[in-house]
Amino acid sequence: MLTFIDKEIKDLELEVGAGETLTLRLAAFEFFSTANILIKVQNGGVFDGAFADFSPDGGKFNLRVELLGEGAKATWHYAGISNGDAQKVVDTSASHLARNTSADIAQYGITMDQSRLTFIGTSHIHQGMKGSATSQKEKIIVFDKGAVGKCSPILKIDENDVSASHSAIVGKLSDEHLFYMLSRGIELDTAKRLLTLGYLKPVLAYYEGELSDRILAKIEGGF
Amino acid sequence: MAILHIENLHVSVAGKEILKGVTLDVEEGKTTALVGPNGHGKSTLLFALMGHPNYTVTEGSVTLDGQDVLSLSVDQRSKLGLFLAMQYPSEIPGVNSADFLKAAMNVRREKPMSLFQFYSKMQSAYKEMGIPFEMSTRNLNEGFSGGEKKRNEILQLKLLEPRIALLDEIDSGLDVDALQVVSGAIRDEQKKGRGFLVVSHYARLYDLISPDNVAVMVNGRIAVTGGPDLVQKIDTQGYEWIKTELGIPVEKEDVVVSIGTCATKEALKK
Repeated sequence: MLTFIDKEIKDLELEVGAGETLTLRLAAFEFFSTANILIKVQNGGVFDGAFADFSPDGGKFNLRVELLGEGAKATWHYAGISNGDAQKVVDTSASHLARNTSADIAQYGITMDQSRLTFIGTSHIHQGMKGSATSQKEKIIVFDKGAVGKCSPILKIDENDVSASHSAIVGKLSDEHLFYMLSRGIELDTAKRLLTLGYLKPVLAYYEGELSDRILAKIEGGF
Repeated sequence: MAILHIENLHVSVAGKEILKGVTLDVEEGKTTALVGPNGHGKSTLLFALMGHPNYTVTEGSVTLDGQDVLSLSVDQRSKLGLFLAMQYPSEIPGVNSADFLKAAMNVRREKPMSLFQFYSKMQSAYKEMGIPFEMSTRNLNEGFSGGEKKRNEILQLKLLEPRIALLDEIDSGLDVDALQVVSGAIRDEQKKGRGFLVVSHYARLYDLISPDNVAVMVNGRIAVTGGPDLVQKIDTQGYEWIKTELGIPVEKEDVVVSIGTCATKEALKK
């Protein structure tokens, strides 16, 4: 397993050999890296990536996964926030360059204050790569009036015998949900925080030990 | 004993006036039944008292124990001692029931409860309400049946210990057993000295919880108040006598409202 925190997250090119598994865990608390990360996955290889991001800065983080060998798999789970006046972009792409490959991308974000959070990325199944499956799930909750969230997951499919799905949701917290919680005496800030817990918490499943505790403290402590 | 004093309350929803001068007292330690035809403002009164942002108070005053309620935020009203059990409680994805209850209970205390205290209180409340304790680990109201949601409302009432509880059709969608559990829990809370303002269409609930007073809401005002016998009268005669005996014409709804929808909301859609 490779784990990088804050400034340790740098430009990186990694190859996952045939039948191997690469587990990549990124976490940002103080510093948002504008790194470009390229992962190449060979036959039957598995890339398992996660990024928990509570950093205050902006910039563009880029992850590209190339599924080069038959049966190669990739999963990616991002959960994070943008706040202050940060302009943050998370760009995640997967290229299916072999048959029976699969990529599963899920990104969850909360945008606060005057910040802007953008999820972009293209999942591309190239011609002839039969039996491949790709999915992109992106969801942003807009916390404050001045904040902006944008999701644009793109699918490029050049083959018929494949499965592909993408979803993008940008929305604010539900007024009815907030009213329900407030009517029980819970203050607005706490109510908002509780409503986002369930939204960010699933990323914890990818982390262990001290790092997991640190991420949980961030999520529960209101970032 | 504190009194929730409502004086000449006017409330609009989306620019349309629904309450047109409600005056009513609800006493701590007493139960007031609020009855009236559909769409005449019963639920609107409860939501306005709790401070739902869609319900705009245009005139009048509300005090609890002499303290102004209308200037308070929703959470402050709760802390002051108001509680609203909703007809359709929200399903809140991602919010764990136990986390939610702990947060709601702790805001009323200076020091947060110990985990042991919290769990023992929670466990006994779940037991009394006949809700399996495992459900405390589920998301709030998510995937709960209609009856489970209503039990869960009363469970919160038990844990939050309000001075005045507002119950909006708490008996709708309950089967016979659940109605017994819910009404039994209300009776327990009555004994503890809580005040209740209870909206229901059915004499059966009122038979079970024996209200002290009855208020009849017609055309956005309290048309008449009286003792528990009023419930029986309405149950057997409907609301026609309001017109013949009191000379108050009952505004008829001009929309068909099916069971399971809020009559006021439906009327506003027109």
